[in-house]
Amino acid sequence: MGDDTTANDDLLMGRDAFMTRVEAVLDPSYRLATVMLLDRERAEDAVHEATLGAWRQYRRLRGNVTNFRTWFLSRVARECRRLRWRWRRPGGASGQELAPAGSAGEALVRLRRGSRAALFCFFYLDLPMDEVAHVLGVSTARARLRVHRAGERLDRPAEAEEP
Amino acid sequence: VSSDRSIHDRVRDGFAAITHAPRPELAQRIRDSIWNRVAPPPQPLLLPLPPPVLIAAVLVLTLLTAAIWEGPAIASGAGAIGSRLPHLPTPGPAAARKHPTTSPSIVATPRPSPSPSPSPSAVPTPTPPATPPAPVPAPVSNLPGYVCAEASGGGTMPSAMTTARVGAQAGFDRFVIQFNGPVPQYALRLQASPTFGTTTLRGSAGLDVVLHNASGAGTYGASQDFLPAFTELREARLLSDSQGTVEWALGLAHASCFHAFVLDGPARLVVDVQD
Repeated sequence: MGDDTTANDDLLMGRDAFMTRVEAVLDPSYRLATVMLLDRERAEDAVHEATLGAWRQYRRLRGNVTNFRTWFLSRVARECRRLRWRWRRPGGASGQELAPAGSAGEALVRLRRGSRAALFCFFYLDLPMDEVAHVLGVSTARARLRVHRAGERLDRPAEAEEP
Repeated sequence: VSSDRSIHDRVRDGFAAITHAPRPELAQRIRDSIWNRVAPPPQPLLLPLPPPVLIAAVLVLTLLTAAIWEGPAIASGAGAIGSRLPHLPTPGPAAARKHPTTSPSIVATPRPSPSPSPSPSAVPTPTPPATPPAPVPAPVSNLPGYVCAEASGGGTMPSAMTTARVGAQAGFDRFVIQFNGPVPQYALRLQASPTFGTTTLRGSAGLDVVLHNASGAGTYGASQDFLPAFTELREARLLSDSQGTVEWALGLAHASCFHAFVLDGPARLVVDVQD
């Protein structure tokens, strides 16, 4: 096998390797998109689009991604912000379909999107705060502040804010 | 601490309630998009085609050199070259003897391309009419060339199919079978009809892919009937899997040439059907 065949093999193997890594983080990615968009169909679209963009970037980086999980989650979060802006509609997705009144998630869907995402990354995904910041595209201090304030608001459901 | 614990549990319960695991269709959708996306050709694999300007420059220089060899009077200056070029006589036998590889061979050299389109030629060269589709060199130089009848290969060790997929690439459509062991013995045969026994696939021609010492029972987890709307590959169906023989049938738009080769890690049989 020459270099050409090796390169072609690398291309094919690259896709396999990439998909293997994507499938390993698909669950948290989809859940993060659901948390940010409060819409399961759109969350699927966001993850799909983010994956295609990630694949292009992955090729450019030749697979040299040190923390794939955080890197991929940050791309999903970025895509959610983009789609959220593009699909902006009066009131936005209320999340009532996801969390009916009285359910465990009711207070969460009433939080701001950024706060909700920060809580999700920190408490549900158990990411370190610097990775939470990386995923959300903010500073570590800001991510910490979001988590702290969101926690406070959950303790005072009457003051919970609209999304 | 108890408050933190309480928040932690409440948050986790809340998120568990409003989210759920992704549907299997999402992974399949992503996989299809990634594999069916026309990948840009790997840069190291293709020789860069000289730009037209470079070809023209080589042509001019070659003709100029030939003219100088013919007679120094022809080349009297750069300005005269342009006006003289249309009137340059055909290089005589002497020039042909001195420069056996001059411009016609350079210009008429077809680019190694998987597409069977006729190669453009600035200098008309008499070519015999070719009735059957001429096999075009593979896009990767070390790959086997395209064949238009039969191909075979693989090893003698038994192996199990794990997955298969289809994809559209630039200039060819690809069908890949993946194994959890070495690629077993395979035989491919092109046929003029998409009918395989009692089964008729989409398209107007077919490619029979038979694997010996192979099985997919309990290991194969992908679709058994792909229906891609590619240029050439219209359907790929698992026809049979019994007694150590697996047969795949490909429905093609035309009886196109193909080549098959093996890749490792994981072991795959790759079949490229020329567009």
